[in-house]
Amino acid sequence: MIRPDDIKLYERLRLGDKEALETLYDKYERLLYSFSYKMVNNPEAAEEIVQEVMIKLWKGKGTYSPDYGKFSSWLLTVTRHTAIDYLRKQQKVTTEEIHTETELHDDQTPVEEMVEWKEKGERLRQAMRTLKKDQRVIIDLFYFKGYSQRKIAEQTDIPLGTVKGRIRLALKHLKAELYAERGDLQ
Amino acid sequence: MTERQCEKIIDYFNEQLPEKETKEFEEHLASCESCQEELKELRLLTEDLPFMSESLEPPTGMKERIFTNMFSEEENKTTTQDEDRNKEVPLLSQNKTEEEPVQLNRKSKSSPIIYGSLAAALLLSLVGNGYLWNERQDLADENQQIAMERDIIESDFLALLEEGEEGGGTSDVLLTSNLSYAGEEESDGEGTATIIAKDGNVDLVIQVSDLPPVTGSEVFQAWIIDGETPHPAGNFNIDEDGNGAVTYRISDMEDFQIDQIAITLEPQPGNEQPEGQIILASK
Repeated sequence: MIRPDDIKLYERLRLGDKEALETLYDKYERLLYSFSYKMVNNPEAAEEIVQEVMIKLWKGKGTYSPDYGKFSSWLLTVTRHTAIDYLRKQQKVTTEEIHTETELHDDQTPVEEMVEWKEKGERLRQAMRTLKKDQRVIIDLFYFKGYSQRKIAEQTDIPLGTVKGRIRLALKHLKAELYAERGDLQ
Repeated sequence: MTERQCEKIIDYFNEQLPEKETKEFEEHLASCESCQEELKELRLLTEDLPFMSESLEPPTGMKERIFTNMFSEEENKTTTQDEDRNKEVPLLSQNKTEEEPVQLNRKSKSSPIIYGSLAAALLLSLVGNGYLWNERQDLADENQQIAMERDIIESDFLALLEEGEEGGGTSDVLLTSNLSYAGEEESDGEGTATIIAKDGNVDLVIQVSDLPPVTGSEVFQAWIIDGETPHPAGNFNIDEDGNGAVTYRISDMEDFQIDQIAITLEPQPGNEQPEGQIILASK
């Protein structure tokens, strides 16, 4: 996902260049939408989140700096925080819409990013499958649901004090699997 | 005190701390090297996770809606604030190509209007749904759990399929059985139950299609019938087309035999005994 022009585009949009915003939007629309959807499980809410991320980007609420790492990582963090905020405000008021995902994308002309995403996604899912169920659950609750420590402890029935350690362990395990797999492929 | 702050790193990462505590934590963070390290580590460990999301087609017209929402409001604001300078600027320019004259005036002005309207929309949706809160709360929790498990099952299932296709791996299909519609009402619906042995485990994988839509908290549930005794084998939901899937690890079950597989429609998830009617059953 790294492209030198992300930062240039970002700088241009900070100066009020709407075209730069649109270029960034086009580039990340699908990723931000899919990620938001994975977090909130609802198409309207996912769209609302993408919109809010764009507004934050345009208004300069929260500023990207190269210290953070890749621009895309920062943008995804902003998206995740926006989704967490949405989930918190919504406070489980509505029942989550549950259905098996069928809209798997079948792009005729995959751009570079799409290919990378697809590969990365497959590797990740494969690595995820090697984890024990409780580790997968804790990653889901922590990262994709954005739960607080307390809520994770309640949901998984583990002591509050051990939540942090479990999260780190699960994430490290996942990362290790990811690298192990990558090694195998090469 | 310091240690207690360090314990808040997860909630800080997930933005779950109230504003005051966030400030306190950030002050602490500035001087706590181990928290800085940990935060960096969390970011590194999670930076790839968004790519786990399946690529979805954004809804039709999303871009137009977002840009119209963002810029029609801003346009309004600009014209009221800088009326004298912006007379000739079209009020609601929705055409993204004609933006040249506006650009120079639009140095990231803050527009509380937009935030206001978003907040209002959110509040409205809260008010609208508020009455459901009490009765739905528990179910929402439970459904969330199911949604998550579904994600996991789905990925497991896809993995199994992939392995099957590749012809490699160590999975063996032990048995496939068709499920046919057994409901009382006139309706479609069919499915297959497959028992797969893989890496020393035995899984029952059920796939269904054309099932009727559910209402409220209703959920489908699979059952393994041993003699006369039904064993719950997982809840699942269906998409708009009536398709769904569930996997159940039968090698974890104690001594049993499978005489029949059935799918029922249960009034709520997690039943130990079937309450609803049978929708699909193997012969």
